[in-house]
Amino acid sequence: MVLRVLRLPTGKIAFAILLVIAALALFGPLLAFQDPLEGGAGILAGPSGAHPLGTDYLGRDVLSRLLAGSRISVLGAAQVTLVAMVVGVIPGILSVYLGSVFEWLTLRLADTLIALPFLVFAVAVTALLGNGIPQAMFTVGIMVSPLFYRVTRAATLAVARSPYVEAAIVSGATIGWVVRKHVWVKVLPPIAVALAHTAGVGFVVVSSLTFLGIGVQPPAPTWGGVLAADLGYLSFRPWAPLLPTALIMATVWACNLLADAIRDVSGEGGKALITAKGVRA
Amino acid sequence: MSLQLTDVHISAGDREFVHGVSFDLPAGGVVGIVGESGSGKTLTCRAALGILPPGFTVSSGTVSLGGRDTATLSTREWTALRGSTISAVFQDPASYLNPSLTVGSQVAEVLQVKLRLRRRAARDRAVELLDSVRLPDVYRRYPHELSGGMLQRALIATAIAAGPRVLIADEATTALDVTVQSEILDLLADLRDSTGLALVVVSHDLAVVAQLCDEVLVMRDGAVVEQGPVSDVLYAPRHEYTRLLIDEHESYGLDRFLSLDGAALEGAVLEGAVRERAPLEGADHGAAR
Amino acid sequence: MVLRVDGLEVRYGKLHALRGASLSVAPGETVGVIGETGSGKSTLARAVLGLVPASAGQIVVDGTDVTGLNTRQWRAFRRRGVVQYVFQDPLRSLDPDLTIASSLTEPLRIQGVSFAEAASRARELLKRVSLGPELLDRLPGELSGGQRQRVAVARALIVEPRLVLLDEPVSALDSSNRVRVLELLKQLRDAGTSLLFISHDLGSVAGVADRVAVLYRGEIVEQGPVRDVISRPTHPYTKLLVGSAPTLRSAAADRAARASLRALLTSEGAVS
Ligand SMILES: Nc1ncnc2c1ncn2[C@@H]1O[C@H](COP(=O)(O)OP(=O)(O)O)[C@@H](O)[C@H]1O
Ligand SMILES: Nc1ncnc2c1ncn2[C@@H]1O[C@H](COP(=O)(O)OP(=O)(O)O)[C@@H](O)[C@H]1O
Ligand SMILES: [Mg+2]
Ligand SMILES: [Mg+2]
Repeated sequence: MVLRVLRLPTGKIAFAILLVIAALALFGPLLAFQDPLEGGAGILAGPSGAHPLGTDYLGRDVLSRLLAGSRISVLGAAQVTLVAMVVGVIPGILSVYLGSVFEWLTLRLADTLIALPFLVFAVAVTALLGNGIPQAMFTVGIMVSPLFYRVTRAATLAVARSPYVEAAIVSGATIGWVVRKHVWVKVLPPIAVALAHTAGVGFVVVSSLTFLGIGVQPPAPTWGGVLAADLGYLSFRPWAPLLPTALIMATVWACNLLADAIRDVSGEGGKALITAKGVRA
Repeated sequence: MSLQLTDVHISAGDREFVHGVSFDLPAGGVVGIVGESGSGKTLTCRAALGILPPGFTVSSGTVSLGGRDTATLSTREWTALRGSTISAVFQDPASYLNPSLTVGSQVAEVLQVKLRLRRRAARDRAVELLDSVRLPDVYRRYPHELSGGMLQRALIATAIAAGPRVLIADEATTALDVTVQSEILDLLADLRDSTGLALVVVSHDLAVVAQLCDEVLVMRDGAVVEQGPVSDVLYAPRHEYTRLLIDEHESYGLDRFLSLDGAALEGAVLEGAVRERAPLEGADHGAAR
Repeated sequence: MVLRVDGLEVRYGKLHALRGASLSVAPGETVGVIGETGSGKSTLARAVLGLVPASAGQIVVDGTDVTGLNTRQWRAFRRRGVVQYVFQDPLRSLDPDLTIASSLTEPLRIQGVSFAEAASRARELLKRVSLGPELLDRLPGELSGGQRQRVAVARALIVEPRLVLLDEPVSALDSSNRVRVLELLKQLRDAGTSLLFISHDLGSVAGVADRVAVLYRGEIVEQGPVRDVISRPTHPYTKLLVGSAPTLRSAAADRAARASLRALLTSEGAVS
């Protein structure tokens, strides 16, 4: 699967971008040549030799902040996605197979999560688990998990009712067998599409939480935080939001490309499910 | 002549798909076309209706409708003729009805457009038409509330709404239960008897066609391999493929349990067909394409 | 008896899909079940396979009373490969993402047979349904409808079941493919496999079955040797079935008879 994705041009581009982003996440904080927290002489300065991207409203070097923030941003988004997948995908598949009680419970839970006011929940959880990035991202992951739950459930349901799955069951297949042999390859592409979506949401959410002081404390740099700060001073530095936006967008775009590539190499069954309603649910 | 095809060839690009089909269909007459899937039955029907798929053309031969060569018709004239002179029903009735409108309103719409009836008159006539296809209470029902057989009858009502002289039924009963199929075929026969409607009945099943038709064309790979009056084709088939079709019925159909009135069906002809099956091995293309 | 169904009732919520159907299949026997769409034919087959629960009645398959089995017992029973199922729709009965080889070998693989052994069985079975081994590496999308249905039959046969349930195996096929599958079923029958052959068309069952049961609105209204049911039908629906089957002799004279049978059936339906 991975090899087939890499053979496609879209797959190559997506991988290249994600590789750069990953490198930024790994080495970015080391590359930050100025202390991202240290205010300097001029505030809201334009680009110069010392500050290639200028300084922010506290006089901190913007480029350094972006570089230093990349690890938190990327790891944050990755964590959101991972939590959402584990909490969404597995119950999504099992809700079809584990009987009506489990199905009812998970469905209600998903509905509740969707209905819950996001910020109230986030504040409550951070109050409970402590105010830190992992806690906040965990919360966000839980909040977006209904997307994965629904996508997976819709796809699994479509597959579970198909004659070929019944044929396997009639031959004595276990649930595990059916999921491994028939369900998995078909739910993977819709999940990949949802994944790209969530990664994007993850970036944006990390920033809005930073803004509110939940999870990430304001001095700690993130891409979203830089963007939020820039947006506050548009009249002084109108071009400033471009770079953080570009970084976020490139990542989201790469994820989308990857989703497309996965869809292109996925089999008939998976393709049919992507165009089905589930993905948009 | 209501509909006349003279040596019609149908091509797309430089590939020919139908290699010469001819028949004369008088008013009240019934012509049947039999053949396995992919043999060119639908293309032939579409040529008669002037709705060949993009890229396909009648590359030689003529289709004439009510004595007029249809090659001379403008698009506008064709549109006027379709429905009011020649009309058709196909295999999948559900896809030809709008799911969000009631069945009755769709029949009435045809009447308003084609016959320029006022709304009130169109509605009354639509109710009559639905009655005539034995769907008395469906005017206000939506397509999804009807069974496959009922949908097909509703579509027949729509097709005959503007009083065409020719109705083409292309595999119109293929997807239906046998009892429902006979209901549709009986309905078509009744319509022919009562209104003189001429029919083109297309099926892959020789028996379906045989019940209704005066003349049969047996098609294979785009060519007409046998053509003639039903009784000749059934009782004295000349082409091995026709014999094979008959044999299939003889060995697997109901026929051998029922007393046959045609003695010629038994015996030598069929034995021959069984033996000649071998060369036709590998004739397995079709359905999936 | 390979299969004995006694007073079987199945409900889907309010809908009473089967109302006390009884039926049996002897070893080596082929029984046809005929009925219109919605009469409960698939429900009958699915109940026998444990895919829908019975609300009353008893089902005994090859000496095992399957009526009260729990999930685990069902799985153990199914792995014995006593009974297999061929679905109506050849387009959807094979996983579009699996090669023919994987689909064919699946029942054996579930039983724990090694892939190499299962693959050689698969090759034999393809031959038995007159398909070449070159199909093994193909995907279902690359096969014609008739070929797919024969693969589906081969998959059912790979575990050498005693009973095969066939749910409208030829309804979606055109006549030459239909004959091929029917011929295949005949061979199976002659080799001693019991078949329950479900169809809406008496005609396609007549050439293969020993006995037929006519299912009408969830009840078996008539049952007997093929010849008797066809030549002396008693229930109006059976009469209509016989009168509706496309036969080669001209049926113009029967039109009126069919119309009165239909009227009779609709008036009965309105009463019950
Ligand atoms: N729209 C189309 N595009 C390409 N090929 C077509 C199209 N319609 C029909 N054909 C080809 O023309 C041949 C005859 O088709 P058709 O008339 O539909 O057969 P039938 O109705 O007898 O099953 C087939 O080989 C089919 O593949
Ligand atoms: N899963 C289901 N849920 C609810 N109703 C069903 C279900 N399956 C079948 N039915 C209904 O039960 C009746 C019998 O269906 P079925 O056994 O599929 O008939 P057949 O196979 O003879 O066409 C029909 O009215 C059908 O609509
Ligand atoms: Mg056609
Ligand atoms: Mg069914």
